[in-house]
Amino acid sequence: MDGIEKIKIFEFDTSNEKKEYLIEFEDRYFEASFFVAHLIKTLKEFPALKEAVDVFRGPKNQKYSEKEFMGLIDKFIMPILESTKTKKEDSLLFKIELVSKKQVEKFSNLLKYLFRKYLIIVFLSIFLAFEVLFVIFSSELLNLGTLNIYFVVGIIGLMLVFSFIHELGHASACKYFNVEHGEVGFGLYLNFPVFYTDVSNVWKLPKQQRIIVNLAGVYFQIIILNFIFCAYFLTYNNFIKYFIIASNIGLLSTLNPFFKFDGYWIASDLLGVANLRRRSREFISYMFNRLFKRNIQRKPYLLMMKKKEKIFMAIYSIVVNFFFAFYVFYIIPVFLYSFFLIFPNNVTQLVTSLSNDISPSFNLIQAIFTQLLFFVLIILLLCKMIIIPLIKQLLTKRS
Amino acid sequence: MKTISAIENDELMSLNENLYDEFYIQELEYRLETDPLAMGGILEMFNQDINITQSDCIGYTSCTGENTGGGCGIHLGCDCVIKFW
Repeated sequence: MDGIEKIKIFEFDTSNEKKEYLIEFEDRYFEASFFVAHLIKTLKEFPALKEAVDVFRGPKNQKYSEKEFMGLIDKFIMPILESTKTKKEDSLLFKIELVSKKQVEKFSNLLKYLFRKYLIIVFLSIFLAFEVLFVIFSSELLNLGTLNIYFVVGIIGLMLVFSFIHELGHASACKYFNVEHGEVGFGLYLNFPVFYTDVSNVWKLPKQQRIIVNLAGVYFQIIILNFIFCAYFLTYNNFIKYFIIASNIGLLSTLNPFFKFDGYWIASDLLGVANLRRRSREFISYMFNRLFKRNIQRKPYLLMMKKKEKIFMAIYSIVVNFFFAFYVFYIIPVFLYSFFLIFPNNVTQLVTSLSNDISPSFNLIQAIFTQLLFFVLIILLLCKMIIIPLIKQLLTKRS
Repeated sequence: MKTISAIENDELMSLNENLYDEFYIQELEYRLETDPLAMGGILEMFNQDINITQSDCIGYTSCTGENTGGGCGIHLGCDCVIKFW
């Protein structure tokens, strides 16, 4: 069978009650049961079909006829071998590579040593001490006073650099655990502009190491923040203070477990559930089907999990689905309503002030810019998720 | 009471289900570690006490009490250089 020799099998660290396997083919990864892994192993060891059929035993030592065996191959092996014919699905609406894998490697090979245990303990302890001191000694912490446009542009520029360092953290952690990372790029996730690093190869690592890779971005930001804290306590400069506050907000937002930021992957690895979002939806639809006595085709993953993790997974599934329902059915419609109510007025103000030779205030420009950006991002999201699939469906129906 | 054939059917059903459950594969999602660029959040930090979006004043300079009822809305005491309406 063409390509079967390229398939690699690893043990997969999950919360399933039964042992699971990770299947690697080209740059694709699959989660598989013992018997699928066993089937692949048999096909690799016995390339002649007849021999493979004779040797292979399924659950309860079941023997298969040649036809049944071919059926198993069609259902469980061909999707792996043919996976590269389809485009790899990801959660980003669009993405562009900013720094190639090779260029990122120049940094990650050097920075990987920062993951030595004693260094992690030292940097985290210093960070915690600085945070406490910052809260205690920064009078009027949230009183941001008067700021000018240069100040804001400076903060935004630094935040971009900071986000890039965050991505280097993920890449360096991959190197530390001897797995290859991909490129660093820019993309659009839902309506959020994001930087990303491709770390798909970390599926091969045990759960604990995957969690370290997930936290590596935050860890690198913490290292940089330690130096920034030093600069702040030496100067008590307002610009640095704002940067520290903005960074702290950024750190917290990236740990959100519902959107696919670092927090999502941490939740996925802590729970030991791959494809966490899909499986949290799967559980909810299973509950609905049970409630309305509809036909249930397959047991959800949650019911195959170990007891303790099962409870947390059930809680996560309920909370995340409520969160997304709230976001899609409340936050976005409310924003769109306010946008159509306020935006024309803001534009009129801008045009009027310009036509009267008065420079518009920064607040007005900021309001117009952020509202417009958020609106465009939401429209892009709606196009990609609803309108384009709908048009495609209509076209296929017609043809 | 169940007939023998019903029990047999039950047994056959559960056995088949178990056999099916023993075989599965699922492609794993593309693992992209994403960091949101919270520019909106940063800008919000600098959004001071003035909420221009609900105002019909532009270019206010100093603050007096006279303008509060005359279209300056929430900008209590703002001196409107130009009003819209």
